[in-house]
Amino acid sequence: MNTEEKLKILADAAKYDVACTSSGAQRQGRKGYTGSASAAGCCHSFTADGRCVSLLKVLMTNVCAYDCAYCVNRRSNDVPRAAFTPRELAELTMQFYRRNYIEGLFLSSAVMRDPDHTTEQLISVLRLLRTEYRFRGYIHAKAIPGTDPRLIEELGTLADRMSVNIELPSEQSLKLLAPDKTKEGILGSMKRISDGIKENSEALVKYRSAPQFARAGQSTQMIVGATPESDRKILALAEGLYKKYGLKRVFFSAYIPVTEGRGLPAADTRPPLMREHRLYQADWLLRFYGFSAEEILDEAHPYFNTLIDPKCNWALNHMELFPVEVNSEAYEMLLRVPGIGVKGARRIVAARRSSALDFDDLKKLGVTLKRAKYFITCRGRALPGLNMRPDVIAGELMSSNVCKDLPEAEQLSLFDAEEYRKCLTGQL
Amino acid sequence: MSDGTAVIYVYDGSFDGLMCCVGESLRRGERPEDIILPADLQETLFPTVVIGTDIGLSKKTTSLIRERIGARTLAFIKRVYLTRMERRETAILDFILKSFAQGKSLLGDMVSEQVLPMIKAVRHLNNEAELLKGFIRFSDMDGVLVSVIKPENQVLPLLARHFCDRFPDSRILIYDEGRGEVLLCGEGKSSIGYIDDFKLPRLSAEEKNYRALWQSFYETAAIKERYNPKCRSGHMPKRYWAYMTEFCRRERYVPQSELTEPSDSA
Repeated sequence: MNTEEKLKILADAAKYDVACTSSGAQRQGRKGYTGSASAAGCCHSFTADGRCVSLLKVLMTNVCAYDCAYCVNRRSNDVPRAAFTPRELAELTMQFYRRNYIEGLFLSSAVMRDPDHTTEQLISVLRLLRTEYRFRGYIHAKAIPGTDPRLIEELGTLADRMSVNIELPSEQSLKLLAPDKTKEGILGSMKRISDGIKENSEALVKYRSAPQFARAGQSTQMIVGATPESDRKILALAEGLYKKYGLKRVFFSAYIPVTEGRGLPAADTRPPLMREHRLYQADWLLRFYGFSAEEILDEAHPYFNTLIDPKCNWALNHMELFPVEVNSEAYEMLLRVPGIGVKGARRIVAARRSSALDFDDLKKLGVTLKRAKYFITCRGRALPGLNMRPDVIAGELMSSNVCKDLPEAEQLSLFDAEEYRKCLTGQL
Repeated sequence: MSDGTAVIYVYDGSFDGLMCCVGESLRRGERPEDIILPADLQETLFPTVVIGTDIGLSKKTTSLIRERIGARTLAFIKRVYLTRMERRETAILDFILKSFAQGKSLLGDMVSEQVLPMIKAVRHLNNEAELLKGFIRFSDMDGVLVSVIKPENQVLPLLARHFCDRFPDSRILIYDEGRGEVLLCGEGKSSIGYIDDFKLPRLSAEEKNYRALWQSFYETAAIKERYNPKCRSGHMPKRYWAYMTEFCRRERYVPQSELTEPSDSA
């Protein structure tokens, strides 16, 4: 089998993993080496589905010992199989990198024989890249649950970011669909990585030459829509992972039927892209807007409103806190105003230092007045002629991408391109 | 104004040239009607003054700007110069004159009619440079990494450090087709110059193969069920596509084993 055939099979098998960010590591180039990394990450291309291509995302092999129901690579599935040799993959990575196709490598693998053997294969690719090819670009490596902690540690000193996929949002779903994986195995590996990062940062304080361990942190992803968990449960899980294991990102992947039967949704089920989109919006609120999961969804409302985004939804339910005065309100509260984002809030705080702002000025600063006008005053006055009837406000706050004539897959295209890019690249 | 008649300055298009215009304007106490390139000369009815580029005067002007309205403002002016903003020369001159008149930089006044378009233009420039750090595609030409682009802003000065740093042991050539401007990097140094005509040499078999591999990867990575062309062109505007390997004419991948036979059938 030639390299092109292998690449097709092993890129195809890896593409459903949504995390493709190259963010979190800042590393300058150095003479005698190739490559650098920037904390904000970098998108090198976008696929026809609009997702950022940052890393050469491939599997080492798709020959798998496991039989997870939702996965294309499961043992019982009849698909062509392939495996890279470490040398072949390292060479391909360097050649792509030189041509500026990619920001680095995202290496995952099916479970070849057992977790330890698989991880040893990944280590040999990373070691070739880091030592022989003297590669200083970005590397994201998957930790296979159940791997010997010493091997995870070795992988972590070679990679910038590590991730363990939590796969499904509950233990029952995991038992049902991924019988070879256990909650303990997954969370155990996640904890070891998080401990490794913590110990490493302590070691680095003592002696700067200590080898760095997964300096860009760890992330995870879970599949949404294959199993019956509520949005609230998924969001609470994400919040827990951020807090407990200090994860950098939790990714959500709308379930795409790649196989039929055994407790899975029907093969013609559309991927729940709207739900995935709402989860990312809520995730954004958790990470950058100071919201807690419980503020976004509670017992009485376990699912997202499909018509209104989570931030607007929260504001509508807390009208007693508004309006706020843009010229004096604290940054944290400005962030909670629908139509004002992180950039907008920062620009307001910077611009109001030289003069008191009016509605026109806000528009110039990139604030979406269509939504913000119901929640703010400028120099003590509301926008003249504002209709404060609740149904009018709710109508204006409806996401512009809600249009029943559009096929579900089209909906994503209409939301703020820059925001979407950032949510995929993890940059602020 | 010295004698009340409007004049037009003609400069060479360089930043130093523009700073000399600013210096002249300050010295003469006049505000020229326009600052233009020699190529745009015939369109004008006003008397013209050719402002020669004198590095000494340029340096004096920039240090005056730094002293009176700050290094941050000077850096901002340098960025505005690189943008595609229409009549950016007079916008820069007015910005400096007004800042000098009020004794502090106008830059803080983010929402004013004078400053906002400049801020927006700089944002567009910075954004385009960031995009191109990702979208630039190199071809390996006998060990030199060569790329052709056609950006809307003058981005080469903003790309130099990034690529020099990333590939410290490679020689790099990036050609801005629209401006005829070329960035050269090698041995940790970079320089920018002009060339009239530039053609990519013939691609080696190896280069063709890596292109084919990248095209395969790119096509494979898309998920059919999520097909969303609008979203793609939102992130990656189509004006860049013509210069990106993934959209070039497809070459056939030739396995290594078949490549070893030297064949010269062109």
